[in-house]
Amino acid sequence: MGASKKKLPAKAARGAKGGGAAAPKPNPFELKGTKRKFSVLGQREKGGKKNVIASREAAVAKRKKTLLVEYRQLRKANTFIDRRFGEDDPRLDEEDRALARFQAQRVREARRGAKFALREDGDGGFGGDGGLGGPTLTHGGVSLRDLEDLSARPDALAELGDEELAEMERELHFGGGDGGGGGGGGGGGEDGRPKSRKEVMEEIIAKSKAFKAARQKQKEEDEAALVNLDAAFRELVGATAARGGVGAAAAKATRAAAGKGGPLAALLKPPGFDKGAKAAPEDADDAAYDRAARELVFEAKSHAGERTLTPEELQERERLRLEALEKQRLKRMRGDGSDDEDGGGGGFAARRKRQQMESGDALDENFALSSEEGDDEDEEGEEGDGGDEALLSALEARRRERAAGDHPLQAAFREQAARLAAKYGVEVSGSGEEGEEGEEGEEGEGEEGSSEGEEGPGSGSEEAAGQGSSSEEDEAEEGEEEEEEEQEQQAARRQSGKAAGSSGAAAEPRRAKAAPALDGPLDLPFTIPAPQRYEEFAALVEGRPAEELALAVSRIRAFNAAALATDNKRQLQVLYGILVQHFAALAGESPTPVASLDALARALLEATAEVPYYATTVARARLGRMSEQLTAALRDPAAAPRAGWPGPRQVLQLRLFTLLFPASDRRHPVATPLALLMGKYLAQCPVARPHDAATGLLVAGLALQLAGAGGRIVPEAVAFLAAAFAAFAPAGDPQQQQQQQQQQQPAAVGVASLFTPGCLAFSPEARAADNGSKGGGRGKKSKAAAAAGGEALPSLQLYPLLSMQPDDPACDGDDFKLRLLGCCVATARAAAAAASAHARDAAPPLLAPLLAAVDALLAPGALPAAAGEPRGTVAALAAELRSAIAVAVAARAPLLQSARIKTRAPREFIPRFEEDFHAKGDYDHDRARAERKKLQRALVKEKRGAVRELRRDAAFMAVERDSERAQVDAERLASERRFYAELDAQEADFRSGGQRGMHKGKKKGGK
Amino acid sequence: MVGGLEPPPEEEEQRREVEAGQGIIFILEGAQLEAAQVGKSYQLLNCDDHATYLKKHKKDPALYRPDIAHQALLMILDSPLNKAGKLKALYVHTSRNVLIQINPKVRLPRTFKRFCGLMVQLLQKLSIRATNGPDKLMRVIKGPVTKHLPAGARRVGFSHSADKLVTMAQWAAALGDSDLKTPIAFVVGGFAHGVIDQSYVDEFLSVSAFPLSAAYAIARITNAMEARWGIV
Repeated sequence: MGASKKKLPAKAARGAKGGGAAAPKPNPFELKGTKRKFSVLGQREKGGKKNVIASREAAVAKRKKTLLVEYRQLRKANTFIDRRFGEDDPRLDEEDRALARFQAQRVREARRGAKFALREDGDGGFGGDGGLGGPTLTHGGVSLRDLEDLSARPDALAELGDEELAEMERELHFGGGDGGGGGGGGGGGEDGRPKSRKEVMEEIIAKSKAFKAARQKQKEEDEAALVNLDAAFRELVGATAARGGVGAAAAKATRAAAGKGGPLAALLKPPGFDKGAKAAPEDADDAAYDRAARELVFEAKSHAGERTLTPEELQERERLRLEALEKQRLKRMRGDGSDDEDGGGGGFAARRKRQQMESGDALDENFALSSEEGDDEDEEGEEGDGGDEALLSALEARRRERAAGDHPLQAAFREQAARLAAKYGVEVSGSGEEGEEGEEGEEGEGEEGSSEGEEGPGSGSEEAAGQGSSSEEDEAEEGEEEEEEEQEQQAARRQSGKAAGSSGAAAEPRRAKAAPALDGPLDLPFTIPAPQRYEEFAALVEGRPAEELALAVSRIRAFNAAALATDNKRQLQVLYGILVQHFAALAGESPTPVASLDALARALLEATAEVPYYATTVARARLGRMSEQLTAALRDPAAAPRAGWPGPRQVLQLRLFTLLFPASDRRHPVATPLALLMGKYLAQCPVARPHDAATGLLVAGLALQLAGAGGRIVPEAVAFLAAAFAAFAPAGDPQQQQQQQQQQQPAAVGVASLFTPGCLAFSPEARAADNGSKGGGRGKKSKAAAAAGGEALPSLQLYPLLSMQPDDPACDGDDFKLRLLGCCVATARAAAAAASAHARDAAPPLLAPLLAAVDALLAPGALPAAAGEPRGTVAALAAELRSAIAVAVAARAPLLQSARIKTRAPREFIPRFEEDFHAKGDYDHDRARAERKKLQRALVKEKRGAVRELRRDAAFMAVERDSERAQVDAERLASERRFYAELDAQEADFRSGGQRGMHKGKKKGGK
Repeated sequence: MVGGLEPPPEEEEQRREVEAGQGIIFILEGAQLEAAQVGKSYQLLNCDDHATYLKKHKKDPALYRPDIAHQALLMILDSPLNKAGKLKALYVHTSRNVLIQINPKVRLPRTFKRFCGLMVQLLQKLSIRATNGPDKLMRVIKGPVTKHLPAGARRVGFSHSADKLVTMAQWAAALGDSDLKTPIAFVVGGFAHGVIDQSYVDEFLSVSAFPLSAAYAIARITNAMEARWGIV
């Protein structure tokens, strides 16, 4: 019962809905939908809000139509379907139904009858003759049947006359379509017939004539236009141009006439204008250009130059030049000017012939032949013939006699000749020819010498002076030199067997000793063979000034250039050894021959590149010997002559080697031992005297210079300088000194000094003067000097120092010490500069001891008040050292270099998102799997839908069954009640005797 | 004299420790990020690609400028300030009143197209996770933004129309440690025309005499703060 009651209103609503045409406004409570959080532009809402009630009703109604009907027919074999007309329409009543049935019957009959009914009459239409009764034909909306006449004219033409119409028909309507051939056709003639051949030809001719005429006319028109244009142009050009026509305009200066002529008159060329002829230039620029162009024509063309010569060719040329010069010189010496013309010409035979021809009175020439002409041995040999003596003419004999006279000049000459002969080891009192030859040679050379003396008296005197001093010195240092020479040769033999000239050299010194020096210099030949022994070279350059020495060496090198002969390389090596030996020899001389040393150094510098290996060997041998000497001296410093310090010879050799070899190499066979040796000198040699300190300073300077080129520093030199500064302090109270040092620089204490304490201290008098005057204006003055960067103290002079003896009393003087101090300051400056330039990081600890020593020196009483402001200079040095240390410290890179710390960037997270995101999309890239998933989802959906439908069907059916049963039950109950009511009534009747009960009230209400 | 060998002073280290806890917050106000269904797909509306679409829907194209937000976010997230960990939080408040919280460790797409894709997905799914981590890098959160700011945070808005014209570097240099005890929230507008809703901003600053783009204004702010903290 309840279920049926529930459904009632729904049914009512549906009925109302179905009835009304316009759907009423839905009850908002019946509507149901999803609420969205974000409204998205362009998003289509699916169906909007649904009416839940309505959809539920629809579902029920659908079930009623389908499921319920099926249920009702369940287990029923047949159904009765009333298909009578109007039976299924509940709106019709019986009468209407009958009427409708009748109508339908009539319609059906009419339809069936029409198929077979015959046509009633012939007015079936225009197409009736076709036998088709269907469509009627119309024209202009009017049935053709209605148009009585086909040829009737349209109304628009009604008012036209017949002729006009005929005309129109002919014109527009192909002549009415009835024969006539057509007058409008192109092919027809005027009379309408086709053209004949003749007519066609005539027509063609006529056409071509017309064309020709047209062309002629065109031509005439063109000419007329040309004439017009010419006239216009003439007007433009101007009156003058117009006179003679355009092409040959007769104007003489059209440019001048441009003013009065037309605007284009300037373009006209003058009458005599020739294209090839050059017009006179108008302005200066043009003229200049023309001139330049003409000059270019005559300018000389450059020719190919001589090709660049190779070094070998250049050397060859130089040698040839020297030979030619030598030849000339020899000729000059012979006094034979005429030979100059045919000087170079002729071979051996020609010369022989010449000599024979001249043999009668050519003794002058023979006389002039010198032994220097060594390369011409043939001649010499010839001269040495025994027949020569016999051939001497009487004149010659006279001459000789005269030459052997006792003129003082002659005597001097003879003496000299004898000396020379002795020097070369020639026996003067040998065979006659030999003596003669020697004499001749001497004579010749003597002559030359005198002539040269005449030429340059200044140079001659200079030479003489040099000669004198050298010879003196030679004698003085003979012993020492010999000793050293021997050592040298021994070393050379030891270290290289190929060192040339060493085998024969052992015997040389004795002879060299025997030979005295030449008094006057000889003329220098142009072609000098390479000397094989030192003695030869020494003899050659003996007593020569520096320029000639340089010249001699350069001539030897040019004449024996390595590229010119196989043996020359070896000879140059020998020469190199000799040169170094000569340098060492010269360096030992007491007033140092600076110019000669310079010349030698220059020559050695050039030669080192030629024989590098030999040069290295020589230098190493010399350095090795120096080192050995040092070691020997250090074994017993007191016994050694200079306490191990190098003598002038060694110092200058050290200097030479620093010059010759590259100091900037990291490792070099010479420079490295050289630096080590200098370091050894500085670090190990004791300093007892100011002279030793001066030598040490010299070595320190050299060492600094050598190291500076390679960007290195010399700690030995710095330590030596520190010790030297310390030694300037008076030795009086070493304890106090030490205390001071400790206070100032604890780091400096460890430095062991090789200096004898106070060995460089100034004399007490000088210091006392300083102390006394310190109270006065001196302090101010020194301060000013310090502010000015320190006046330079007098420094040591190199060459006087070298030639000074170690125990020279001058060395102990205050002046020398002051100079020493100046030198110390300068060297310390250099050391500081080198330290801050090359080893900036090491500069502070390196310079600290030096600074401490300098500071100690600045203490009162250490320095004299002598001239040159030593205190100010030293103070300036201290300031400089301090600043160098400060700069080095400031330049140190911080330990923590924050720029080098790479801070790692924090980790970043990458958002995960799809490029083309769909909120409900399937992101499976495997298509098959995606499809399968989709199907599975559909299946599940379908299944769930089906289950839901079944459930709802079951619910619906349950309701239906319930209602059915309820109906049955109600009917039964009703019949039961009726029955029982009947029975009750009967019973009551029976009891009451047909009075329908006893109660009044019941009687009234009962049925 | 020790030269470069001196250790860094003690005060410097202390200062570094103090500064380690300091930071700032950025709020990009009025960002014009709106996703719409164009055809079948969802797209972030921008005035260039969707001109006709916007016209059809009767919208002003000038109000659809997601590129401003993109630039501004890149400027914030790529700054050394962020790399140094000084950016404590980043919020984007869109013109459609969607509040987005962005993790400062995110690496935003560099290209605008990919940024659009990211934003569309964010606006549909309401959160974005990382490919290389479990965190939610971006998510839509419930407003208002003040709910998410730390208590006592100073809120500084930037506007050309502000009365106070300051040089940002000086302003930042003048910040004391007490000012930076809690992170300062900088509110910057992410739009071409308009003003920031001033309901929750404490003070407005103008950092230039000229109107600046959002990205440039942010660059000024980050530069000033980097200078303040000595971030190189």
